[in-house]
Amino acid sequence: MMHRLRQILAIARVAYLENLRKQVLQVTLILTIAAIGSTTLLSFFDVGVQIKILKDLSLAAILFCGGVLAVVLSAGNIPGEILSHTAYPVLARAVRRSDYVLGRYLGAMATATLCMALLAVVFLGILAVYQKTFDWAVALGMLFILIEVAVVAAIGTLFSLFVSPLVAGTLTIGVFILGQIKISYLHGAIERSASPAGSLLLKGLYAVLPNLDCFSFKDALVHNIAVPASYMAIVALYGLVYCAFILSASGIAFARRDL
Amino acid sequence: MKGFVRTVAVRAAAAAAALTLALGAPVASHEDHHHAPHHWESPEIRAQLTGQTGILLVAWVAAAAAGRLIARREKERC
Repeated sequence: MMHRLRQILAIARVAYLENLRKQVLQVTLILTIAAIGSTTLLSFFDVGVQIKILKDLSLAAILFCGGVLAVVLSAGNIPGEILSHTAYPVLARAVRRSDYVLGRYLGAMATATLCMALLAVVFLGILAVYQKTFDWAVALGMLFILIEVAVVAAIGTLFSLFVSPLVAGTLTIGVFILGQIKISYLHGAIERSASPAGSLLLKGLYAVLPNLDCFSFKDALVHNIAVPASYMAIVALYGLVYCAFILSASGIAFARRDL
Repeated sequence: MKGFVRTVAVRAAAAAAALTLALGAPVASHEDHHHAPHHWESPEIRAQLTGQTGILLVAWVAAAAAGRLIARREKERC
């Protein structure tokens, strides 16, 4: 068991170091920090309104950055290794293919977590200057964005095992966008749909898509509304189980693949 | 060097455009936030999430068992 864990961590470490060198990662990170910083320029509002705008825009920018990271890091994670033939020496050893998938995923998530932590430091630092206290609720909200990124990255990893990185990336973006509007728009669209075929299609889409908008507590954080802890626990559990299932399915898909 | 600068500039422009669109959405939704019900207040969504988590948990256990079986067969073949 310890031997397997060591193998998974070794694969994750290599993936993490590879991901750190990606240009798109650095550009996205710089732009998001710039977007968060630029909200402090809105000095013509009073402090209460400015804090609301800061929270709203910054959380939206961080969520967007998280989505980009999840897509970029997951879509090319394993196909890139197979195309460059660097996966073969690893897989030729006594490494389970499911462990390889898990290791690569954990490497991608380690990179995403580092980026999100950097953004959290900048955002929470600015917020602490305005509010004069550390906002634990916003820090918790950012943790849920990270869980959402983990779910999207798991889906991207699964797609990347069946299609090319470009198609996998596009499909993951599609899931990310549709998952964000699942409850707010798709639910209403099913009720409004006049044609039975359209309604059936929307219902199918609704059942398959992950509830990504449940991870967003932006409205609660901006308007200081209390969210029940039990609900947050359900959402966190949902996200973690979703990741576990998708990664298990990815492991099976990769194990059955003829390399 | 010129190619690198161009690549970075194009990527930065694309990311900036996407970020502008993404940031526009929350500003636009500020007006109607009072009318839309929050997801954490809806018992229907809570029940939906609980049900889906249960289904996913069962599916995960099944997938993990299948994965272990495949790994054992892989080992036997080797």
